[in-house]
Amino acid sequence: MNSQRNIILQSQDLSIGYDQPGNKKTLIEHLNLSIYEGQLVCLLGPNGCGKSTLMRTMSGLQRALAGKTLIKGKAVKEHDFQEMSKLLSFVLSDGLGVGNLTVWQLASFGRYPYNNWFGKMSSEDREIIRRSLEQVNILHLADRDITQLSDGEKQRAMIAKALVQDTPIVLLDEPTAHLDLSNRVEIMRLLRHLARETGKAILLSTHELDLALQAADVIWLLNEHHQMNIGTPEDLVLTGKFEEAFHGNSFEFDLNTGNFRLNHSQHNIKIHLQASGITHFWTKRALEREGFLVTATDDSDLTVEYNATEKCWKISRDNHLQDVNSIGELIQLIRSI
Amino acid sequence: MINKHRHIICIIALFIACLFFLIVDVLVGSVHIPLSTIKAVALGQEVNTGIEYILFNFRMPKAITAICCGAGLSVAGLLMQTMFRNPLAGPYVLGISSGASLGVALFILAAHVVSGSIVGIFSGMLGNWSLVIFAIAGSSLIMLLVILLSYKVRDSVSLLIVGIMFGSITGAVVNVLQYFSDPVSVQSFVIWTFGSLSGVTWDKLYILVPLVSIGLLLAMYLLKPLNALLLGENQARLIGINVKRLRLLIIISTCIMAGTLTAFTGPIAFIGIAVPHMVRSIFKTSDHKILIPGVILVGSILMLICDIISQLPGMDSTLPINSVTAIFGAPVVIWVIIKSRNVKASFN
Repeated sequence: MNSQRNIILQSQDLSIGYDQPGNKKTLIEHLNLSIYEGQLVCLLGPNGCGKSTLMRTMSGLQRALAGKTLIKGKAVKEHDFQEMSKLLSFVLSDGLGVGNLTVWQLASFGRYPYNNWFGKMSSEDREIIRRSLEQVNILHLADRDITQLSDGEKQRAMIAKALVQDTPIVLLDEPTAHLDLSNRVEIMRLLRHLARETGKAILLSTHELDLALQAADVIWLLNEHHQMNIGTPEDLVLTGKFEEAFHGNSFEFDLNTGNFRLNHSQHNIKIHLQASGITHFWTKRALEREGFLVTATDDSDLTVEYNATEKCWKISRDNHLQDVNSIGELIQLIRSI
Repeated sequence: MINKHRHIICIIALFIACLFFLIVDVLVGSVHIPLSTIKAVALGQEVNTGIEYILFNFRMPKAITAICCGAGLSVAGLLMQTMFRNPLAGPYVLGISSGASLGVALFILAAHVVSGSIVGIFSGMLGNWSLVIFAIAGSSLIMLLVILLSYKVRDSVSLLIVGIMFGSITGAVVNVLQYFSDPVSVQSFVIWTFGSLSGVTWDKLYILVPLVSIGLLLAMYLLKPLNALLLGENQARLIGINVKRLRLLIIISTCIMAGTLTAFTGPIAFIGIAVPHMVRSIFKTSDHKILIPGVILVGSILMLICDIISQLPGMDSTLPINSVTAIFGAPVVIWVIIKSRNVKASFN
């Protein structure tokens, strides 16, 4: 990786929102953001906080209400369309609205900034397309019509198109939406790899908090009051910004695991759990899901003990003892109490 | 790349079909011309002067006009469908034909209402060109308004609605003019709206052919950005297309082709909407590199066939071309659509 890191995309005092006649709505004001070469930035925030608007404004698709965005030190407005298309690619979240087009043809649109008026492809162009399709695992679908793709495959085809465009900046609006877990992880890994190996600056918005926490160099975190917090994932967790941005009555951010936990309706039954290792973890999880309070102290209503040799859970309550062989039975029994 | 070969074979087959129908179109008519005459003319041999006169001064200009019409209107329709991403768009959605009919209505109808008016003086000076000039003036006026508005209106859908509104306004004005005109003038105006390929003489072709060619060349020059536009205006911008400029060029190309053709032949509807769909069904692609040549050929063939049918072999009169294109063309299009079921695929 290049040791000297340059800012490639930058916003200065940027205000974003909508400016339609008679309806001006400012979403976020005074943004001073910067992305370095080789950096993977994840933009997180609840729905409607302005993630898409921010990306569209930075890419020049939407007008800024104030301030400006700079690419390589030059304002986006001053780059012409051709120049821009060689600097920045953007995977939009909108549908495609076209058919009778193969995956290969779709991806080859990414070469448009580079080839002649007729769109003639050189063997080099074709190699780039082939490699990009391979990177997102859809090379075998190259001749498939895009209307016959699943949502996930379509998404990967659009990412391939952005890769074919081969720009130093890549913006992606919710690239992992519609994808299954393995593809989500695969895409994040690919983006991370691209940032590291090819020095691309990558900005993506996502709702995959756990993946973002693991993959991002920097997180731009928007909260519902349209305020932006910037930092490494870990700093944002430790300073409580994460919890603040995503706080709600029905769930909470678990600082220990980096995951969200549903807040289940609470019973007033305290259970003393005696177990160890993974059995403890999963038993506790099941009990908590049912809304019981799991404690390690004695002042409980009942005690659950796991007996490793007999492989059974022993439930004792008011000197009354009972054995069960699975967590399912355990829960059923406790519920009936 | 099996598809690519298939496409090339299809294009060649269509080209041969086009030549075939061109020859048939020249031969068929109230005066029968045998095939040997064509051969003789082609080889520079002497033929009956009467037949030669008909061949050169009636049949050939008419056939060339049919090809211009088929190619120009179909490409204009394709451009509009791509620009508006709407399968119902055609060459006339921007109100060009209604502009032309307004011009013609003013010429034919108003000339009578205000006799001795400026209109009357003009028509005296210009002779048989006056109808064409009024039609061009009318369509140019609407075209100019649409181009000016295309700067103001940000998105294509609004522009589409504006075009349809223009059509309504001019249509209403034409109705008012008809209402106050005498039956004879109304009849000659209605005849103009039927469309006709036979009114175009060589001296008119010298204007028609170059103008339609300019429109077609402009469309071919735009085929890469047109492809980009398939993905939507935002996606096109992101791959380096100046969408505003592209939109202006598409409008200019369409207006030149649809405007001139309407002026010379009357409004020939249907072809412009139908042919792009047929070609997409035949080639199963949205790529304009294939669609534009395909549309030119299929449009020409369809127009030639319609012209042949309109001759009504064995009879002296001809059917109005506008009715023929719809009566014989529409079932063909319906058949193609039912057969292929992928028309919607291009606009999902």
